[in-house]
Amino acid sequence: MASKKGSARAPTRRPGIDRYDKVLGAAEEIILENESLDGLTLQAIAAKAKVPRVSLYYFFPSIDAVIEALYQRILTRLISELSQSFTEPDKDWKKVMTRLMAEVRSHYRRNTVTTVLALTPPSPKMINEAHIVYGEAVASMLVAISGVPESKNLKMGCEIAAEIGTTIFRKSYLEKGTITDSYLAEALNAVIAYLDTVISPKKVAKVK
Amino acid sequence: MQEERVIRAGVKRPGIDRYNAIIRAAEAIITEERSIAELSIQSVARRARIPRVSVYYFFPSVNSLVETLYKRGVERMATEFLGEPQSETTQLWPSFVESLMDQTRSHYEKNPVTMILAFSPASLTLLNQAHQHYGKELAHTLAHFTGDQVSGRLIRSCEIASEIADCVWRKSFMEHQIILPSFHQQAKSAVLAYLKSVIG
Repeated sequence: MASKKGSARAPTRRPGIDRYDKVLGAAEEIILENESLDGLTLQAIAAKAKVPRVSLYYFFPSIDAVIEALYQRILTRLISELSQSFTEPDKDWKKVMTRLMAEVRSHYRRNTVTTVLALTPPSPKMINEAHIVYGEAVASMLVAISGVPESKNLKMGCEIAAEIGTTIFRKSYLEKGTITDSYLAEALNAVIAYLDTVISPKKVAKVK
Repeated sequence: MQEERVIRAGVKRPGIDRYNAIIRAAEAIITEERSIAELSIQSVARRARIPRVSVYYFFPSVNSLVETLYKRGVERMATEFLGEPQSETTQLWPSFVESLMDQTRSHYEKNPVTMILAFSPASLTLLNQAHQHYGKELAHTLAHFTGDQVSGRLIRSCEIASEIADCVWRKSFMEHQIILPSFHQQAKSAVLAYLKSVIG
């Protein structure tokens, strides 16, 4: 994790690791209870985790640092879950993407904290950084599973595709309170149609 | 257009002047900072050289100010670019959408306030509504080209197309502070590919 000023300080020894995890666990509980980031304060977290506020500040100089650390955590969780369930080779990348996005939706549905953080994010910078990491993961999955040729364009294309997918999921979540089947279908449409222009550019009429 | 959450607009001359001074001050702050982080009732009052209480009179919170600024920007854009196409047009819809996106990008470049507000959302609900407004206008314009009826499906697809363009542009803005030609190209590809899958 980046150790830049203002970010969380990661623990290195056992008691520190336990406290750090306890703090993030408490933060997740608060988000879960409120189904939103409202009410998430350092004070509320200290009370919930039963950790002195001083040691909370030791790891997290601000509430944004907590949210940033949570973001990293949920992203790692999502990516590791996805890479575990996508191991079988499948030449048809569109089929792989279709399964992948259905999987992401079901992950959101099972993880309220992830939904809240990813779909009602507090800062555009976090969304941007998360999608760079996630896009890269998707690109390497497409290379490994479907044999899509590796390239810089593919990586950038997957970052953009990830943003598009999230944007449509977010629209559904804001308007319907959940990611509906029809918005999932729209997201699939948009992501696959776009990635097709990246992966097989010849098939598409050249854009002036 | 005034929305209910913006409690008042200036109706008499001194009121109108003050209202406009507030808007100008807020826009100046956003333009200088290239972000809305520094925008507060206090900073706007100081900049506009009017008492804080007068700012509160028009805008009960900084969010209502952001909302007003953003709506002004989006509405200006929608009326500038959308509407019935000229009757002599022989353009097909994809090239219309492309030129619309070119215009939007250059509009963003000329109006950094609109761009910054669009890309650093203070409220996701606000953005969502802006795309609904814009998507609806776009659907009606596209229907002129395709000769189709304006269906709920078409409107929703246009809302989504509008979100797609902004999310690709936003990525460029976040990473490079401007909309780079390469990102603009990706935004066009993404929007056209999606709309083609919908309109056919």
